[in-house]
Amino acid sequence: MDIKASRKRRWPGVRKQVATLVIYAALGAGGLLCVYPLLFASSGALFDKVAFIYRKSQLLPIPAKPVFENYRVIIFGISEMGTPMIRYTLNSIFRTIWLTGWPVLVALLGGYGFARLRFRGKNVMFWILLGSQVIPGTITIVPLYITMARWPLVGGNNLWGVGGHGLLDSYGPLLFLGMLSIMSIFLVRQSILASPIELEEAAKMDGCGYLRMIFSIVAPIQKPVLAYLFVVHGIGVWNDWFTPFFFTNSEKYQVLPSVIARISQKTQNLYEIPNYPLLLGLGIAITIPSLIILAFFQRYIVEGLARIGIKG
Amino acid sequence: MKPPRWNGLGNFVRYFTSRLYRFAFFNQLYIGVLCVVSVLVISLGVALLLNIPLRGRGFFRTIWYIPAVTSGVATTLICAEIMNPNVGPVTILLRHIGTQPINWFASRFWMIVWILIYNGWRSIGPTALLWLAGLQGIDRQLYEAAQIDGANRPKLFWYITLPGLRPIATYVLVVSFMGSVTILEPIMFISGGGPFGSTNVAMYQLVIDAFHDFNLGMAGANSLVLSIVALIFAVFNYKMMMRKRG
Repeated sequence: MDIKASRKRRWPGVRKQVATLVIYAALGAGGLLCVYPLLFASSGALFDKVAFIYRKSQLLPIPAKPVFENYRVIIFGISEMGTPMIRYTLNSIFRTIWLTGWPVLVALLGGYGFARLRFRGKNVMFWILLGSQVIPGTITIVPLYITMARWPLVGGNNLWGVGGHGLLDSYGPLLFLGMLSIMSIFLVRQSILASPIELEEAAKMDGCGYLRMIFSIVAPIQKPVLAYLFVVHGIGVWNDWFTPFFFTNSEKYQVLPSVIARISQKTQNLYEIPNYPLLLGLGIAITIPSLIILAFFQRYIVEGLARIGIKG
Repeated sequence: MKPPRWNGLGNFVRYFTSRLYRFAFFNQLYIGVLCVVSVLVISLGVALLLNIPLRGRGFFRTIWYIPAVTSGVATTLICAEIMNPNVGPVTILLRHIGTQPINWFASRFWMIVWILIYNGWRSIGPTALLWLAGLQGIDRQLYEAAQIDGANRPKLFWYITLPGLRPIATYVLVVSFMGSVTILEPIMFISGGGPFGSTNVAMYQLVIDAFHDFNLGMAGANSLVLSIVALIFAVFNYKMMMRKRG
């Protein structure tokens, strides 16, 4: 009896250790699969154009003679059309900063307004904004295209918006589309509603005006939500290839991801080998800043997702 | 290029009568539903694993979220290179198993499989984090009470975990469906519409219409129908969520 009891005390421990090992193995294997394509691309970009096509089949392509040309080209190079690559990078960076700052600023202001202020038409406006979120995004692509194309008095258009190409092949669609995010306004509003109002009341008693209240008192408390919005918008805009691809044509307005899209969608000359290593290198260059942001702000992403999900 | 010509409802008529558009529409829903189902189930499993108090949980959460922050164009091209039947790593694995290299690009079935794999790779991380948020909102005391009453693991899962996840399941379902119904990148960069247009999807047809054919009328009709479907689904889901609360 005693031996059996002690054996039962010993075996559950082993079972738990084995289970833990299995779980670690499963999570680790999945994690490796998640990261593997990036490793593949990092080492694939070290190839020469021709050597990549004729490479040995390996799990992780390692070139015989590593060529750093593809990584060098990203900063210093000239693309096929004669535009320096640095222009695409600067386009990307500026567009990301612009289209991250504005939605978050408006979300803070609008969220505070809907949460704490009272004004005529507040409810009506709230429901209109909520209703506009019901419309899916895909339906707006074609009307936006036509709106951009027929914008009066720009890009060769006359007063009626006819004649030229309007805002299409310019910085307009790149910088105007996405300056506002209504879901962000709602998120900040919900977060402010959930925070205690005492601090703001105390500040108001001391004579605090609206702007100071928003930026010195409410914003520091809402830092996690604002950080989440910064990260999500930033990564979204940085990776956005569709808008420049769809709305612009000239080389000088392209952003880094849409460069990849354009190179891979061009019908290829039969006598020319497509430069896959360059595409892989560009892909890695685009991904590295996102990874850095993820490493530092992972906590905010998880918290933000939890907050959205639980509210329902 | 000619100026646009008024077509009345002609675009919509053509949409519903032509086999091309009907097939693209059906394909979008078909592939979308497959994507949603596969991602939901697998990510729930991953979330259950991530919920277990282990050391390095945060590390794994970051790792699993990495595919979601990568650029869509880049990773679809990487996937196209990985599945290369000649020199890709997948054929190496197939060779170890003992089969001949399969030409994925010539078969609709395998193209859909790879689209599901790519979509799973990209979506399982964030969806698992959403499930995780829901799991952490379930009251621990419910589990303890049930264990005192003698419930074993499967019963705990069925009677406590699943009902506790119902509020977030609605949100996850809606978000996943919205994302999958507008799926475009794998179709455009991996399969290119599949072997002879067999993985043609409504969104891809929209891009072709607008870019290669400059047929904005059809593109508009296409996007309208797709959006109405997404809208119906969202409203239906909202009604179900409201009913469950009451």
